[in-house]
Order: sequence, then C-alpha cells, then structure tokens
Amino acid sequence: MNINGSFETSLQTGDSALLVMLLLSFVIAVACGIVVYSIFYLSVTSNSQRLGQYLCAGTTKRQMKGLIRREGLLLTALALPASLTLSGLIAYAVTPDGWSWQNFALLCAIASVCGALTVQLSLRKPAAMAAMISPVEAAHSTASDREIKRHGKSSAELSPRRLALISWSVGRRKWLLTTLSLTFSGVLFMTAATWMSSWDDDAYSRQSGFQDNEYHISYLYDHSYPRTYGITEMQIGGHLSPELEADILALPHVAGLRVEHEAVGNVRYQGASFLQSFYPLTREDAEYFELDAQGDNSYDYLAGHDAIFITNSAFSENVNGVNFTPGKAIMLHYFDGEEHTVELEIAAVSEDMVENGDDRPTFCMADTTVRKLWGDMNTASTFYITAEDYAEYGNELEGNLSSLVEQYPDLSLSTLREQTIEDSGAIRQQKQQIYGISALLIIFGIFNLANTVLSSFAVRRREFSVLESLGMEQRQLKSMLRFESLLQIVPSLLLTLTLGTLCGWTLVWWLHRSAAYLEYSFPAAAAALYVLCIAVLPVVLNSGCLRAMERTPLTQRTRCEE
Amino acid sequence: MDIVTVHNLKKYFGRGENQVKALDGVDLAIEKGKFTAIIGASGSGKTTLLNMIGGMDIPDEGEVIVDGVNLRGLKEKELSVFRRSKVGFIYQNFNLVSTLTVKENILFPLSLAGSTPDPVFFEEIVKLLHIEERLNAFPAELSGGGQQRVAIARALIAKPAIILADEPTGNLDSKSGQNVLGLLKLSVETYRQTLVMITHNLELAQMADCVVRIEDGRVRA
Repeated sequence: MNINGSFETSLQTGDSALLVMLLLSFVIAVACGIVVYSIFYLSVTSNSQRLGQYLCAGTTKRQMKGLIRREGLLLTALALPASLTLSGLIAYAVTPDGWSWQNFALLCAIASVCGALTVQLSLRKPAAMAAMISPVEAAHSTASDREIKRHGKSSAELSPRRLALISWSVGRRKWLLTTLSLTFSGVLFMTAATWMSSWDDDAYSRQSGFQDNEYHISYLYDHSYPRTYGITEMQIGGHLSPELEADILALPHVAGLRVEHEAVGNVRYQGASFLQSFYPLTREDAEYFELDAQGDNSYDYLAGHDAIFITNSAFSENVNGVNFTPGKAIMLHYFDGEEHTVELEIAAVSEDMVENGDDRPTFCMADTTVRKLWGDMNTASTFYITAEDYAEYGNELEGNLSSLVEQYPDLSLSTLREQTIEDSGAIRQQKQQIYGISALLIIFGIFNLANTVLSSFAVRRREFSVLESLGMEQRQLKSMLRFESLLQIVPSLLLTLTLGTLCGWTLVWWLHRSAAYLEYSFPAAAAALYVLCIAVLPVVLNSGCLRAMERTPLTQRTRCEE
Repeated sequence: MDIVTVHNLKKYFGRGENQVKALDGVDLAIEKGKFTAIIGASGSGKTTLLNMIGGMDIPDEGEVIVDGVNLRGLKEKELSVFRRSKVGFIYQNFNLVSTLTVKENILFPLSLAGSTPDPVFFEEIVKLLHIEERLNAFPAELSGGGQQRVAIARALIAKPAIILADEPTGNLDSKSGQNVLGLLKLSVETYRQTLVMITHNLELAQMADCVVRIEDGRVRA
C-alpha cells in the first residue's frame, strides 16, 4: 500500500493551522477594537459641545448612548460590504481551488457578527462618556471656556517646543490611547516582519533530507507500480555499489559521500499487510537506544533475539490500523533472490523517533539480523553527496553526477536545486499570506495615526488660527506640530521596536523547534519602512492640513465656532 | 499725527449677484494716542475694516498704512511679524489659549517674538487690570470679564503701535462691560496707546475721542 501524500499530511498537521488562524483573527479583532475605540473616543471628546446641545434639547443619557451605538452600527454597515467583498477577492486570488460559496457565506455571517460585536464592545466606553457630558458644555462656545487640567507652573518662555509639551500634557489620555494602538499594530507588524526575514529559503529546502548534502542518488522506485518487495530487486542488481561510490568520490568538488542502508520486506501483523523498510542499527547508533520506549530497545537485545524496534509507532499504527505491542511478533516476507518468511519479535515500541533529516525507515533491526536475513545482498539504498563549495561548483558537480547516473537506468538523482524549485511555490504562497497580514497591520497603524492627526487638527483649527492672529508664524506653527508629532511617535516607535523585536524573537525561537529553517534575523528593511511611514505621515498630514486651512481667511477661521 | 491711514479700501465677498461689498472705498485717518470708536449696523463692514488695519485680511483694492508700514504686498510671514509687533487685538470672544495660564497668555506675543518681558511693565499691567492674583489660573477658571481683562493685558504687553478691539464688551453683562471698558480706556491713557474699538453701543462709543460711522462699506462721518 502506498501512502497518499495528503492523507499523510492530514495525520501530521492536525488543527494547528486553524488554531493559528483563529488566534490571528482574534489579535486583528483586538487591534480593530482599539482603533474603533480611539475613533469614537476622539469623536466624543471633540464633539462634546454638539453632544451637550443634544442633552440640552432633552436627549436622555440612554438616548445619547443609543446615538453613539447607532453611529457604530452605521460604521459597521458601511464597512462590512466593502471588507467582505475585498476579503473574498483576496481569498480567491490566494487559493482559487479552495473557493466555496457555501463557506464564504458562512464566513461572511461569522465575520459580520464578530465585526458588529467588536465595534459595539469598543464603543461602550465612548458611549458612556457621551452620556456623562454636562449640558452646560453646550453653552460654552470658545476654546478658552474648556476646562484644562495641566501640571507644571507658568512659564515666561513659550517656544513652539514648550507649546507642544503643554499640548501634550493636557491631552495625555489621547496620547496614551494613540500610543497604545499604534504600538499594538506596530508590534504585530514587527512580529510578522521578523517571521519573514527569519525565513531561510535554502534551509527550508534543505530540511527535506539535504541538511548536510546537496545530491541524493537512490533507486528509481515507482510508487505507482509497487513491487512486492520494494527496492529489493534493484538492490540485488547492486548498482549503488562501492565502485560507483569510488567513481563519485573521484569527481572534482565532491566533499563527501555517505551511504544509507535499508532492507525491505512485507510485514503481516494483526491482519494488516504492508511493505516496510528496515534500518540496520549498529552498536554506534546510540540515539536509537536512548529513545523513550516500551520494551527493550538495547542493541544487545535486538541482536540477540533478532527482534525489531518500531519508532514513531503512532504514524504506522494510524496508517495500517494496527497496535504494536512489545513481545508480540510480526510475520516478515522478504526476498534475497528467493522468497523467505520469518517471524520477528517486537522488542520495543517508541512514539518518538530519531530526527536525522533523511527519509530513514522508522522500523529498525540490528545489522547482524539484516545480514542473517539478507546475507551479502547490497542493502545500500541512497548515496548522500556533499559538494565542496555548493554555491561555486554546485552546477558543475550536478552535471557530472547526472552523466554518471544516466549510465544506470534504475538509479535516479535528486538535487537540492530541484527541491528549491519545487518548494519555491509553497514558500511564495506562505510569504504572500504573511505579506498580506503585514500590509494589513501597517495599514491599521497608518490609519489610526492618520485619524489621530486629522481629528486633532480639526479640533484645534481655531486654536491654531488664534495663535496665528496673535502673530505666530507658519514656521513656528509647523515647528510646534512637528514637535507634537515627535512626542507622539518617538515613544510609540521605541516601544514598537523593543516589544516587536522581543515578540519576533520569541515567535521565531518557538517556531524554530518545529521549523528549523527559521533563523532569527532582525527585519531591518521592514523596520526602516515602518519608522519612515510613521515618522513622515504626521508631517505630511499636518502640512496638508495647514495648507488647506490657509485657504480660509484668518478672520473667518478665528470667528468660526468649533 | 496719524498712525493709521486708509485710502480707497475695498473688500468684496462673493461673486455676481451674491457679491457683498464689505468695504467700498473707505478713506480714513486715525490719530495717534487717541481712542477711536467705529460704529455701524451688523454687516456694515466695521469688522472687515478692523481686520484690514490689523493685517488679518488682505484688501482687494486700496492701501492701509499702520505706523509707517504699508500692508500692501506684505508676505504671510511679514504680516505675522507685523501683527505681533505693531498690533494688539482684543476680541469679543476673548480668544485666549485654553491650555495656557493667564500669565502665559499675557506673555504669549512676546514669546513668539523671542522678546524678554519687562517685569516692571508686566507687574504694572496685571495690577492695573486686577489680575495679579490669578496669574496661574486657566482661562476657563475666570469669569467673562476676567478673561477679557487678560485679553487686554495680552494686547498691551508688547507695547504695540495700535490696539484693535472688536466689540470687547459684547460677551459681557453691562456692569462687567463698563468695568472692562473703563480699564481699557485707563490702560491706553496710561500708556498713551492708540485704541480703535468697534461697538454697537452708542453709550460706550461716546467715551471715545473720535467716532467713525460705517454704513454699507463706506465711512459716513
């Protein structure tokens, strides 16, 4: 029986991908919540006069809360169709084969409910704040009427920097909120960027048996037309011979060659029959004898009883529908030119396995047993060849090896280069997904910052005009706004870079245990891009707002009510 | 000696049938050290005239010369410098900076210019306007009259060539209004300042040395 690739994968991965997606969705929902909270908090605080007027006109606190909630529902209703359509298009673009209208409709329903809930939960506090506004505020018409709580003494020197600091000190809650949301999305972005920058494409492909080598020569076994004893008939032909080994070692730029052995037989156990390879253990294979196993997995016992040791037992048990128990026996049919049948004791069973990176059999027996059963038959199954300087001489050596292998119709050459090409599609797809998430996160950060800058400017438009009317130059106004932006951005960037680096490192460290191709690397380019975007955005927006503001005559601006 | 000369000043808002002639050829001279009141109905153009004199708005035609400075052709930066050095503004709605204390609001024009305040003059002004006890308070903590007294102190602190007041008592009750105007008049007399004030109130206008009436964008008397 040949194992179907997808079936094998399904047995190995379980629900971890789904759990990761759920976790990611939760994190994004929290980020959205912070942004929504921030928008409504700023909206309520900057519209306290208008909301106060509603209360003056007889609006109850309950109605005021309802008003804010309805604004939230309107926001949800406007955003959902666009976001669901966009997400559907992206999903289809990423995996066209996986598209299902039924699943999409289900996800739309779930996303709509989650989105509406997130918005409603996020605006609970702003709605409560709106309900607490005193109707007296409606009577206030000027900026100077607003009560200010600020620490620190009066200062005779009021430079643009000092003014920025004063503005910061009176709006610390807003500052904290923006810093928090900006840092949150920034940390997520840095974590995703670290994941990408830590991804080593070469190491990813090398994990498929190419850890310390670049070429495999093995028997050309076609799983579509299985033979009763697997590669045994080809092993009898003996083309993976010491002579071929010597020929390969004589080629230029060959740094080393390792020969892997295995013997194949047909196992019958608990009514199941399956083709199985056996790895011949020597006394030196200490890592096998150190595995946590049921039964006796010592070399002496295995050799003394001609018994077998089954590692990674759960996999074979699931595939074949059996349950391996130490002390019981398997029936092995094997071939060495003639067919034989032998009963072998299961000496030990372990759920663990030795990770050597090769596709080594999980069923083992002592080398002495292999010799007893298969005699002098050449059990070499694969040659692992290492190039002297792969980057420099890899192509040349591959050409020479191909020429050599072509002489043997039952041998095949697989290379790291082919593996890299084969993996590139999967890598591209995974990276596209991470790129997409990163882009989403950076857009979050930018959107949130833009919202803060624009709403803050809109609220303070009249204040800036008054400052101008008193003789403040554009240069001084710009300098003040620039310094305010610095006060907003620098702490957030410091926090983002510190926590983002820490989170990225932790994620890579955690994933490295199961994904050795991830080696921590600081995402310098992504971090620089993020810093640039976040640093430049307020300057650009403030400049644009100032230019737009200047189009209205100063007299009109100083008169206008907020 | 005239500190302000306005010649053929025109300012139109809107176009075509909707065009409003806020100022339609105003000629005016204001004498230095005098208190001039500008009166007129709503929409007569008095605030527009005041804004033109203060460099807050740009005329369509004509010229304004304040203390020897012709405002025509001044760039935005030069207008800013003009406003903070030559003009002290007092607005109907005070226009104090809510985040600054009373002291900071008063000293703000000097800070913008990078000038060091004269402590003796500062003490004099705050005592004259009865705000010496509230220097560390914020505008929101003061009454309307209190806020307007701070605005007067702010207008005086840089010893500007002219003080422009746009209905300074408009947001105050009559008692506070009388009190504030009395202090304003006392201040400009004490420091020999030129004061130009817009008002609807003829009773208040009678306190001025000179009254200018504006109607339909033109000076009538």
